[in-house]
Amino acid sequence: MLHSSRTRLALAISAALAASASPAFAAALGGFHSGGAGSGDAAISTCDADGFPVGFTTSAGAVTGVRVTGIADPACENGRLSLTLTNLAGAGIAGGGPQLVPVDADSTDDSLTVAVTPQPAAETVAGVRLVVVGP
Amino acid sequence: MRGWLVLMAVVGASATSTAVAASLGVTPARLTVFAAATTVPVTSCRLEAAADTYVDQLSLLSNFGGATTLLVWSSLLQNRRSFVRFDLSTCAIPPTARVMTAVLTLFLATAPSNSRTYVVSRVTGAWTEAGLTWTSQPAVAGSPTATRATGTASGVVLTWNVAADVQAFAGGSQTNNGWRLTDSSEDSAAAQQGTLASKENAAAAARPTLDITFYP
Repeated sequence: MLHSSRTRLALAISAALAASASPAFAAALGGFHSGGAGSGDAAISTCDADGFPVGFTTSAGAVTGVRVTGIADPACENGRLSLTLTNLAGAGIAGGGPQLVPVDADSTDDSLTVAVTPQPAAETVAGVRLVVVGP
Repeated sequence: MRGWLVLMAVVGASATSTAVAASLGVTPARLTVFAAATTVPVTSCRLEAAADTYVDQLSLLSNFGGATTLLVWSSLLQNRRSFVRFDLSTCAIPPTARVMTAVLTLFLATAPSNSRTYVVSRVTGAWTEAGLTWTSQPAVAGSPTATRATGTASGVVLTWNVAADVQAFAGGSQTNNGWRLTDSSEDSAAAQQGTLASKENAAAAARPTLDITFYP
């Protein structure tokens, strides 16, 4: 049963990232957007409505990690964050996570650095897709 | 495997992520998605010359380190060559960084009467602005770094791509002794004289620069 839940979670993350890669989804996002997946479906809500600023860590000209900031506290805590880096064509070129958004005592927005694999050349990165499942 | 096939089929059918997630039974969990066009910011750095001078074949032991011009002449037994060096430490380029661009820019104050090809070569030996002479000029790499036609218009900017050299300097595989600038065909019977601005030039905008972009 536990195994089944984990499988579902992994599939949900994959599905969200994959779905967000579709042209229709990208158009709906207008290129820069955050929100609950599938507006109009009351069953699933968002933990952070104002998006996530991202920064990059690099080594030898390759992206090694993505620094995600502005994660709503406490709404997203205990959620699992995954991300995909995309190239100009919108294709995924690297990914990271899922990584647990840790719980802390304050109410300041959280931040998280997610390592990515493989480590793409910095100039090939043109976008990021991110999903938080849960909490 | 079967699960993935089902998943791909669902996504391929343009289902929303909500529907997909719901079909996987993750409701009522929150599902927050975010997408942004973003690029990895490149680090830029502009340097002014740390040292520059020219040497004169007709004045074998003279030094022109304090001159406001750099000369590149092709003239029989009266050639002149220029040298320029930049202090890369100011840019703090990590040894493992990937240099994307490095452009050497010089201002051609007076163009030669015929368009010439100016050759930039990596200098392989040490030199000083106050001590360099025709006699003491160091050697250069066997292959030129870059070439550039001058044209015959004065008061224009000339640029050379020196990214490979800067990459080597930053990475430590080559020592930064700067570059030598020469006419590709020296010893012309009819003198061809180009005059460029040096770092001592009164017009700051005309002085040599090196523009570098890199990813740490």
